[in-house]
Amino acid sequence: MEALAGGWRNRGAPEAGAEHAFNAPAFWWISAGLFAHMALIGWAGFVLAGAVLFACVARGFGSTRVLRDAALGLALSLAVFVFFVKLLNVNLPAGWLQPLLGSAGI
Amino acid sequence: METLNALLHGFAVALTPMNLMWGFIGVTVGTAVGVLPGVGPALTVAMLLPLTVKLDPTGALIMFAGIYYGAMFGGSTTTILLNTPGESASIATALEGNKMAKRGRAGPALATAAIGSFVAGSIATLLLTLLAPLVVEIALKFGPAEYFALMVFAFTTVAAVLGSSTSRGLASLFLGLLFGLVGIDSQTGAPRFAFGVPELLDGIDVVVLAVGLFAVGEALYMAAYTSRLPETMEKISGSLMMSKQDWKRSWPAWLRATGIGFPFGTIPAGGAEIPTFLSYAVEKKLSRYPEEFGKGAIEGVAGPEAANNASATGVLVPLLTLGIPTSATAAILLGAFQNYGIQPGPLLFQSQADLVWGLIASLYVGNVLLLILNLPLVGIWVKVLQIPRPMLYGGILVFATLGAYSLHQSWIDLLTLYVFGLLGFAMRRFDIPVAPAVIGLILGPLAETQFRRALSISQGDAMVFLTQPISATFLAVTALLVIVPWLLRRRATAQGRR
Repeated sequence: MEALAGGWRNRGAPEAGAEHAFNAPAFWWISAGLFAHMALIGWAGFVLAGAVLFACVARGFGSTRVLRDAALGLALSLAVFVFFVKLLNVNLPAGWLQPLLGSAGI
Repeated sequence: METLNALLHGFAVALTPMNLMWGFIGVTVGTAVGVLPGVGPALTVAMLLPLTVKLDPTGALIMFAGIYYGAMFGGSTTTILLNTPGESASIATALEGNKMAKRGRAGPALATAAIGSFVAGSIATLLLTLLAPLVVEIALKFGPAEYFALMVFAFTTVAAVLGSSTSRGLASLFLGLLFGLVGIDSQTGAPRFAFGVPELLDGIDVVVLAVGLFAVGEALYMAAYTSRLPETMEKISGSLMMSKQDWKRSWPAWLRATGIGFPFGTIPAGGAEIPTFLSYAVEKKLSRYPEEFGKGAIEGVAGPEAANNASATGVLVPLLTLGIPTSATAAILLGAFQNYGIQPGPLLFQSQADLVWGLIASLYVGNVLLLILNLPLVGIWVKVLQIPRPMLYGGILVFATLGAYSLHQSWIDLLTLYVFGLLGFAMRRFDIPVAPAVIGLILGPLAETQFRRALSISQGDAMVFLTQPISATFLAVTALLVIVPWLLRRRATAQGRR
């Protein structure tokens, strides 16, 4: 029982725990992205909020090409939106893109 | 015979074109998401839960089983090539798998992991088929007192006995139990810990908690502490084919690991961590090439991967027959059942036979699909691995917020998600396990219901938990599990002092 209960405890992950000093800007970029997303989603819609979130998170992870990230984020959230709303009938807000995307939820 | 009939009927359900398609989508999406570094099966299942809201329960749960299995398969690819185990159960695989990849044997390592997972998964599904009806028979005799005692046992093993430290596990569990209290009390209708926020009256959804802790917390942690580190990925060079010797060394390991993994999955023992390490140790001991261990021995990949999958299937035994989740992933699956108003348990086998047996049959089908999907197509999944970290986490958070938002169409859920993200960040930083919190959230309210039912039957006499023999046994074993290791440790320190 001892072996079962405690024998495997002290084995860490191989090479786990490698970390650098706390990078505050990274932390705040991601937080900012999530808060911007919260503020935007009901108003500007899922697709635009997602693009902003994506760009902020990428920035937090050290990417410097903000415009490219925003474009990628836009493409991804647009694809997700179309897949979920049109195919799976999940209700998501279209927001400012309503004229382009049609009404959500069909 | 009865079981065989039920299973055949299940296959009829699972093999309808629609359900087959849901299963296929499930295993594909599950593999694709499970492959992403840092995304384990629990997070995969939680993120993809909103995918199924508008499907019929059978199709949705078949898709879910596919996602569950797919995430397990996908995770092993990441572990071998990147050496970033997405969850504790993959650590043992990483020990040898990554070494093999470094020596240019990534192909056979991936192959033995995939075929081993298939073999173990299929045998374990067969065992599940045979065992489930027997457990159901026993479980039908359980009353509220027995269920409550069993849940206490599950809480204890998941939180206190396993994991790196008892106090950390318990801290995590009690956080989960606390979150489980939020919302309208099911017995009296009184709101608890809702602070007047309507979104909280429904309780805290397991999706928000799991995605917050796993995805948002992980993203914050990775960005703040590891995003500036260089990363290395091993290339697949040479053939995927296993040599004759690879086969000879792999298959006994697969079978032994299935024997180790399945029983561990079925008891509430905190998931696949112990059986994978146990299998690793067994293979190391039995191997004719012990000197290769630590440098990339194929048995060290074959065993733990098979054990991991066998135990993942074993977990479904208590989940389906008793309604008790024994791993974080199982807790989220239970949440998926509850979304459809289905409470897994012995009665489910009678009232929803189509659904249960369709689900079990779909596991056989899913295993075959996954083998086809993973071996020849491994190149595609490797491409997924090459997504740069900034894009990867950007995408993960888009999905994470999608799941939380789709619950009530409200930004409050996104705020809750962020708060859980901060909590997950802190837990990751201070090495507190997340799984007990997720299990506590789901199982806590169920335990409370059983506790109150038991007390109302006994008219308030709390001795009912000790006078019923089955319940008393569970509680006694629970007490022993806590006390014995503590006593042994005390004796060890006392001897050390002498």
